Amino acid sequence: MFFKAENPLIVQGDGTLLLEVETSRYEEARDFLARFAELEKSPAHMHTYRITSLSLWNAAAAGLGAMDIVAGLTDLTKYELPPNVGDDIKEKIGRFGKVVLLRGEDDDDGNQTLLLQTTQDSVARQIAATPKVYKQTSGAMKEGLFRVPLANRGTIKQALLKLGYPVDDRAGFVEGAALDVQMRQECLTGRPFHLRRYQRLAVETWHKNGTWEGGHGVVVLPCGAGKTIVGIATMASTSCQTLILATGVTAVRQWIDEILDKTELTPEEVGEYSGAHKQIRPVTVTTYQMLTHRPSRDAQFTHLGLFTANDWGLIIYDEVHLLPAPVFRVTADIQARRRLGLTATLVREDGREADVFSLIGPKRYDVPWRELERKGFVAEALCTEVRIPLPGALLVKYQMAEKRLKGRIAAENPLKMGVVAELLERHKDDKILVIGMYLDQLAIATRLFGAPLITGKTKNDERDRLYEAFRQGEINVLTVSKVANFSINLPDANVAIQISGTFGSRQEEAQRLGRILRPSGGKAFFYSLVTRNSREQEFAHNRQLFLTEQGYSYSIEEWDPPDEV
Amino acid sequence: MDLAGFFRSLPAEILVQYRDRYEAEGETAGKDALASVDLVALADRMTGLLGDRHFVRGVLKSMDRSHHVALVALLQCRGVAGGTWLLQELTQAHGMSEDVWAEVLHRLGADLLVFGNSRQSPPLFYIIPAPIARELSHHFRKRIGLTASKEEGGIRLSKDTNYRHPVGFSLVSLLTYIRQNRIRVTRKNEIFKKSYEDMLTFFGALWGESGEEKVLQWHLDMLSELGLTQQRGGFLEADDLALREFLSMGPRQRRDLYLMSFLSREPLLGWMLDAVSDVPDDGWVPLTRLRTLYRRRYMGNVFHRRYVRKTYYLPPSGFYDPNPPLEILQLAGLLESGLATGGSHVRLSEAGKVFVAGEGFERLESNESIKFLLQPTFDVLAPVGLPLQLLWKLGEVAELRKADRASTYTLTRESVRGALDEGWRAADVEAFLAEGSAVGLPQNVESTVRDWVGQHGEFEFHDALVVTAKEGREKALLKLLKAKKISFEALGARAFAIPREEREQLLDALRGKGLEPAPKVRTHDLSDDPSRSEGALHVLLAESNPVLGEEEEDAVFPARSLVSLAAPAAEGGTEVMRARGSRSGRTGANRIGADLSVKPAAAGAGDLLRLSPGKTMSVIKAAIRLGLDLEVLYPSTGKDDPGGLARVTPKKVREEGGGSWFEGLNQRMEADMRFHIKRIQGIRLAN
Repeated sequence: MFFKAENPLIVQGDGTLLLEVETSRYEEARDFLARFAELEKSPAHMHTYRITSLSLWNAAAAGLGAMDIVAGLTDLTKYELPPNVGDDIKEKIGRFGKVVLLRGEDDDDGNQTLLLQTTQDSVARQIAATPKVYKQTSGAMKEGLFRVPLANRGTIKQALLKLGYPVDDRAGFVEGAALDVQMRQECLTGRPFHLRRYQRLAVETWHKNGTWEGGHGVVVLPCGAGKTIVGIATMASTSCQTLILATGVTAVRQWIDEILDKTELTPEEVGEYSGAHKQIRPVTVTTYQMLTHRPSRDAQFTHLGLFTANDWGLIIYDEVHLLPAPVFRVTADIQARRRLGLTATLVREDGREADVFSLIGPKRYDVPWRELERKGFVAEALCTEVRIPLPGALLVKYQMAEKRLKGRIAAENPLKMGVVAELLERHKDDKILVIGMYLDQLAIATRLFGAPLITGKTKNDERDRLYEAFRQGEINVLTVSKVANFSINLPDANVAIQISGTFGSRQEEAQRLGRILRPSGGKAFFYSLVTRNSREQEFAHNRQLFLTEQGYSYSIEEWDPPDEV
Repeated sequence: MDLAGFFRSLPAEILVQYRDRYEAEGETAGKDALASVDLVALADRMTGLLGDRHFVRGVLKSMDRSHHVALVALLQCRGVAGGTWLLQELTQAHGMSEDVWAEVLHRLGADLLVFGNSRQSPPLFYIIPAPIARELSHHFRKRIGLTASKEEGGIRLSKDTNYRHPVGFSLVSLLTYIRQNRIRVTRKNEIFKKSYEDMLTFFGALWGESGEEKVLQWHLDMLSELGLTQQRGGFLEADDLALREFLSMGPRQRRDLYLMSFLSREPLLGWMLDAVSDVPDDGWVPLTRLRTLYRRRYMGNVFHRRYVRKTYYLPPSGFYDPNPPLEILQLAGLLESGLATGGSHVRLSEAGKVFVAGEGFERLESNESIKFLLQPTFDVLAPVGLPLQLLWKLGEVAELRKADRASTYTLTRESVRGALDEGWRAADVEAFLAEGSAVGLPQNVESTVRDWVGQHGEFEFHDALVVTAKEGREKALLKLLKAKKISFEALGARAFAIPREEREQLLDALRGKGLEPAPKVRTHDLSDDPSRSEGALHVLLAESNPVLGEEEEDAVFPARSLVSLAAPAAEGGTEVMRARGSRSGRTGANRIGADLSVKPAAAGAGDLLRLSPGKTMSVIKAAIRLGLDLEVLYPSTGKDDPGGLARVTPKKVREEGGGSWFEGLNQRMEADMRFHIKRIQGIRLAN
């Protein structure tokens, strides 16, 4: 039987790929798989990749052929390649490029139109026979050639993808109003600045020298790898006015700060479009919430006009995996604009990865965080779960409580403060975030340890002041509520102590951890304090699974108080 | 019987015919001459001649190609074939007419290479006596067996030849699934549709996308045949006892067990594996050629059996499938099929070669160098080739989540506690995971497993043998235990726990001292040591058919009963030939030569058939007339009869009150039983 123990890959019958890490051909295999498969789990010894239609079409968009993939897999696999996997790859890849979207002649009214072309009769028949697709066209011009209204450029791509045919969009882009964006050699703070190699590669791969092949798509980089920098460099490469969509006001300001810090643009050229400010400038940064705001459920979205308020040449979607449905709809209408999606993961909680592919574009660049960790671009994270007993006095209360309350009793276990004290002592020279869910508990921590508290109610100016003080080293410990989840950029934080949490989505966990992954030369520590044998420990098990799947080192410490309370 | 023995045992007339045919200047074959012939010397001379390969080659070279074709066909039938069938076979396979082939065989009869059977035992069977067949086989060796295809356009591996896992891995994975998921079965021993479909879905990735149902059925049959599963309380369950024995077997033993299972389904599978493996250069074999060879071999066996038992007639019904049972081997991953412009081909797969050779099977089946991989995510990856003991134990500790080239198991609180309930100790679980994993036990998993184990195992049950002594005799027992150095633990004044394995020793010692121990253990149980539990499977193996590599018995026929086809004066002789050659038997139903129906399908026992009541009746009547046993698939009749397949000696057929049944001796139940024709689910003639 075909078995090559020295090979690093197991190709499963369902298309899953298991990559053994501790083998000599690991890196070769990893780089190869990254081109056409999604990394699903990356625990310590064996990484799991999955071949999906989208991942294959992403590969096809990057010029990778089915035979190359099959030959590569055959070369790397321990066991015989399952025939169905090879067939599936050939069939899926074969679909890419069967339908091409081209720029057409202007119609009789002088409106620009697009042409949908396929050389395969069977595909043309399928298009004609599928109402959801056919109604996006203005009818067939001849066999295999359909006229498509300009406005339907996005929707027809979505419809055809659902039919199983990814569209190769070669209709090109409008240039948008020009804007000269020059990158600085030295930041405003005086630090030297240059793009890292992988950031430059990401920009080049996305831009493709301004040809129709580039100019749209998604760059996937792990938390802390400098996605904002990639976005800014993209602006510089396209030299056009840009609209940036971010996840929150804090992120908006961070973007603006970064743009001013890393480019020659002046504050007058960079605008904030938020609840507080409605500035529309050559570079405008806004939030998804802002765009999807409407006075009532039946009312129109008030701010969607921002997309057409200026002649944008580039639209950047930060954290593209969070893109809300209304923005998808608008994005379908602005397919002639260059689009860049930035994210740490293509996995969406709502499963709309296909819409990202159709409307933003295929994945253009991806670099595994392990690789960045190895090169010191992101910090190595050590996750520790500290299990703490519930004091005797609370045990009865816990046992008698309703299920819903049990979680809270366990989360607010007073013994946790003892552990926090020990950890603060252990990391007295580090920058520490104490993260919690319950404000009462956080207030106690603030009182006990003198760490300023930031919650949702903290005014933005006060937040910014505290962040700045934290950056400058005036404060070493910050206590934060779940506002810490998204895009607060605390570059020097390297320890996070989670005293309570919702243990909610995978995103939330990743974001919390992401707060401490910015490299500062050392390791990052992520502590989760959990009450032993409680519902909290059950929830913590899910987090443990998620983090270990992501490949983070995870250990468990048992903590007992010196004297029973 | 060797060639010399054969000639010495021949009737004088036939021996003289040999002389006349093969000695250039022989004496005339008159009666007087016959009387004066030294038969022993003549037999020795004939032995010399026909044992001389150069001479035989010369004889064969002087023959037409059609003679060679007929000889090869008969040799492929192990040297015996019913006349009608052989003529049809030759006509269908090589063209020409049956009359011409009858003539060819007649001429071979004149050459004294082919004989007929006794005149008193019609119909006609063509026979090549075994010693002659051996000589001829040497000259036709390349044509008797299979040869590699010379397909020039290349042969493409067929898509239905999907990846197949080693059998053991697959069987143990399925057993684990059965153990972890309650599989409901009906009273007819059929798996409920939902469970069946769930299994198909679950194992789809491992068994390939096409034909999973066949593969699943193949596995279930195999488990059932080996006694690894049993029905209990409406559920399919793994039989712990048989399983323990199965797992403790060496890879080579298991390979023999699999082969035995294959042979029990199709006795010719071993021969077929051999035949395919003998093809030079691992070449592809055209399926048509394999079919022909199989058909002849199969029919040769049937005719051989019938000839030896002198049961020449068979009822005219369809018992015979001319297609070789390739599917069993293909599903086992031993054969793979290919397509070419010239048609389908087959060859031994890589696994098949190892299986046939036996060498290296341990690497394929249970590779000691392979370990599982325990990840910090609590997932355990168990790759193909993992030793089966390890694989099964893993299934006791972790949940099987996915079956594939590397199956995924997951450690959960429930699975770990389930293992503890099954008798694992907390320390055993940790040790098993730490030692079995290629990367050790991750700290977070170790800590969590300890947490799951909790207080479990503070109280334990032990499996041991308790020896008691009558009041006043405990000292004698204690003394003996100490003297024989049998480890024991006193459970009370007169009760001692000893290892089960020490029972025999203690029993002997007690007897040696003139004491009178009760030889039986009061509560029956089994030893902890799997290697000592050589039970039903080993018995099965011991009683199994000859495995690969063992020489099969030659077709031996009583030489005295042979009839020369050439000599009109001899029994049967030309007149029989004439009757057969002219196909005059076609007009008279039971005259000489009507040994088979016109359809070649009527040739012998084969698949179990579900026939109409009318046809079932006629088969039973024929069996009674011919004195043959039947194999009958019949539901339970209650009492102690579990139902199923039974060998029955039919005695009489009754038709009364609109119903019909037959009475016969159920050999399994060792009792006369009445079988209602309508309830018979399958029937065939017993071999």
